[in-house]
Amino acid sequence: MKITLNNFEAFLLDHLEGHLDAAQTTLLMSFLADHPELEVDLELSPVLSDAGITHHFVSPEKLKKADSAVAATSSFNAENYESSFAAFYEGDFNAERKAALYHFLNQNPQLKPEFEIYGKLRTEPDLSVVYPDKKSLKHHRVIPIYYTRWLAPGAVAAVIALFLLFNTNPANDSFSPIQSPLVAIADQPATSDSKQPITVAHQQSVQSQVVRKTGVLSRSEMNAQPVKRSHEVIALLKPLKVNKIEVAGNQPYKLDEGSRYYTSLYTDIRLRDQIRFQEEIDAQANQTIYGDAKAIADKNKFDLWALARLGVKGFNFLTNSDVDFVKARNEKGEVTDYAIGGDAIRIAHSSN
Amino acid sequence: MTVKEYNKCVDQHADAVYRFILKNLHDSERSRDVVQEAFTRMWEKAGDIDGSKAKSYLFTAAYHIMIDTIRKESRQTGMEEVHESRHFTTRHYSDLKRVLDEGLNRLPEIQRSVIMLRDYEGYSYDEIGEICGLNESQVKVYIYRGRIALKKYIGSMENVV
Repeated sequence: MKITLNNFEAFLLDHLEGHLDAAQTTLLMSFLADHPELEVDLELSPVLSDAGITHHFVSPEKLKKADSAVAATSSFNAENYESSFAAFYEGDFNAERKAALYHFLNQNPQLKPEFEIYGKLRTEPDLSVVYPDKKSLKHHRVIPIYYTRWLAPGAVAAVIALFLLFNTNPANDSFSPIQSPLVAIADQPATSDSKQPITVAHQQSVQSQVVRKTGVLSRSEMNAQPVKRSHEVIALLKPLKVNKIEVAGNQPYKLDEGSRYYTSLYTDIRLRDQIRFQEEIDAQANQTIYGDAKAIADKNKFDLWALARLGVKGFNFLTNSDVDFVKARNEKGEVTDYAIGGDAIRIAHSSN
Repeated sequence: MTVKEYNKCVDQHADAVYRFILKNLHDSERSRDVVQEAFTRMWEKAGDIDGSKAKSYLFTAAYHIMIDTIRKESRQTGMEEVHESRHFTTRHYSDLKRVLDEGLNRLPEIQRSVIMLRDYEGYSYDEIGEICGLNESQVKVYIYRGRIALKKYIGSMENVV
């Protein structure tokens, strides 16, 4: 049997009682030689207490000597001064206890070096140790999309709707009529497996009188006129002064100013932090997005993939995001895979 | 807790949790597993966790997974080897940080953990208690005992050249 710190006392007892053979005695001596800190005095007989073997191998003389070297004060003595030093450097002492400890140290100047060591016992992490593959711990929200003829364009139409939802300009707080170059509304949730075609409303230069509403909008109000609903939401969102808006649609939005919320595509936007200034959006939209939208509209035929790309572009302008939209085609030029994604979202589909 | 907050938590705390666990287990492979499991648990509970409490949740989860790991292994290997390493000898070192680091390795697991949470992460007694399942007094006692053991390991400053 191997001698360890856990069982050496039993071996010692056996040794003192003469029960160890020569080999075991050699092992024990070798163990004690390796552990001088145990300060085992083989000349002493062990003292057995009711509870069993106690710390009896350390010479009582040594302990007595150590005790007598420390002059006790009313608060500190040889028994507690070390834990008191530790407590002092942990910041656990109030002014009174500190003063008492300083007094104790003055009474026992030989302990001052030890006291100072306690002040240097702060351990430090090894900053060169890093988790080797943080990327593997991260998550992207994946929304499976079951492929049907219409749902892929439906999903991207929803992105466009999102873009347009935010990109119409209520000129100021008076909420003058707004100009919308293009409106696309997806009436089915993008993630459902519906075979029904997505309804896409296309309007050019639509003018709507926007009515300002504050507070919570009921579901019935929101469901009443789906197209107008977007304008109402726009009107409420743009000034960013509304405390709470709840919009019921296919997938309800719950928007709190300054906080995070999810759209039907679970793309998160922080209103206050990420939505860019309207003027900037307008300028960039006029330069790029509007031109792209007009080009699509001029064809008099929808290319929903182009619409999707446009929607993503607008979304990126609006939220300063880096959402990307990519497609993969086979040799026949058919779309086989597509993905929309950024830091917090990735929607991917493979037709294989 | 949102996906973004979760991923931010990975960036901010994965290294610290890994160091904490590695220091206890001394095995990079098993430590990685513990960290991964802790993050998995956090992800599964992400909806219920407040972002501001994420770090504390993570350390708590990692600590308990680590304890389970240690217990399982000690059942398999016996405690002899574990105790054997806890000896203190007078040595001479040129670097106090390294001495403390080695002394820390020789502390009992609970003392080592509370001292690391205190020193590395700056947690209060109360917070350490929550992570390790101890009350505040127990945390204090373990920290004091740990410091005294570290002091004994060092011996005197003359040993640190």
